[in-house]
Amino acid sequence: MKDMKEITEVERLKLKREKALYNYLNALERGDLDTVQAFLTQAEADLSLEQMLLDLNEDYAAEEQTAVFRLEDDRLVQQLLEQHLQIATEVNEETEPELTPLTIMDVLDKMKNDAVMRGQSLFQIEKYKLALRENVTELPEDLSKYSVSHLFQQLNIEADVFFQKAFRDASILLAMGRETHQAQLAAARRQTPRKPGKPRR
Amino acid sequence: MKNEKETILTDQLRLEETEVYQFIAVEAASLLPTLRRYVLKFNLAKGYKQVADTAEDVLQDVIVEALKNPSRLAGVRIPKAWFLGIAVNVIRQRLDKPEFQHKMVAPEIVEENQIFDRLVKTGAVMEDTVVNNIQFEDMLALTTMANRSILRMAFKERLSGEEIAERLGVNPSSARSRLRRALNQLRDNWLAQEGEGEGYEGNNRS
Repeated sequence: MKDMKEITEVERLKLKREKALYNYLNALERGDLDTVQAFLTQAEADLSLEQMLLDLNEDYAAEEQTAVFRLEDDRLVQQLLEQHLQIATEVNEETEPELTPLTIMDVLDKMKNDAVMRGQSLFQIEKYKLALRENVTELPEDLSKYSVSHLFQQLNIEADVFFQKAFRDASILLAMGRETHQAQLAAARRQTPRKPGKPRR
Repeated sequence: MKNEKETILTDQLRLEETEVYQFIAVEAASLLPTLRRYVLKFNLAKGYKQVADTAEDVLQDVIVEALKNPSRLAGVRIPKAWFLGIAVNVIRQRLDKPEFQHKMVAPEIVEENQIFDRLVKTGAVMEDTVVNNIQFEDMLALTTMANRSILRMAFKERLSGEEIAERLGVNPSSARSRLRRALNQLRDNWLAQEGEGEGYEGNNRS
């Protein structure tokens, strides 16, 4: 009697594609050009694989869009604060606005917010937040896997590879957002007309 | 006679160029998010602004390359994967330059294929083959409840990314990202349990 659970040819093909995409995503994550290239060659002749690539492309676009909207929202709040509380800082054209450096806690806060949005467990994040509650260690400039792993060692935190990867991704996104924000502020400053009666130093 | 042949060839080349040109004009810009991801992941640039600028430079090089060799895609649908493949080549050429040599990282030796194949094998059980069933559930025990659920859908029920997405109420790409995270967590925990040197094959002895 033929077993009902035996893998059919269609299922085998589906699994093969899912495996190819899994390998592609992992290769991309570790910067393995050869595997990425091999997948793209395969996808040239396979509409389903190409569709998977396009789905990813849409996801990336949406992610970037969200980051930009978040920055826009931050800027709007800042503008409203300046307008209503009259705490606008003097624009000094010679110096860049000083933003406080990103810290480990900033990243953990972002991870927590993201986890809440996605309905994921907060247990691990809360555990590390508690352990590092007095800690003000700044985020290193180098956000390679090695550097992040080294950072956790320094902090004496035994986080698994999965958590370290999530931490690294959140750090990169946060740092990218910060740089864009600075660039936008600089551009806005260039466009802001000088108030009359304020002599240039 | 020769002139006629040359004219036909020239016309053909023009047609191919037009097809590639049209493809670039309509589709290329939509692939910028993936190009930016490549630039970032392959360590060609850091920081949003630099990544965005570098991706645009890469796009320009890809367009030049694509227009150099339009006949490769004569008469066929122009796949976006082909375009991204050129982008990877452009990035590779850039990474070959001396200033990037220090950034090149050797690929890790990972048991991605083994973990995937093993789940396919043990997930595809016959009704009376309890051994595979036990092995499958043993492996799943190394992950969280949420991950187990998605791994069961993929390997036990053999649902595609689209089908999993439908069940989870997310888009296919998100479903696949979750599946990948689940597989990687399983792989890491499996490796930690088995010892780095032994791997999956060592466990097959039983």
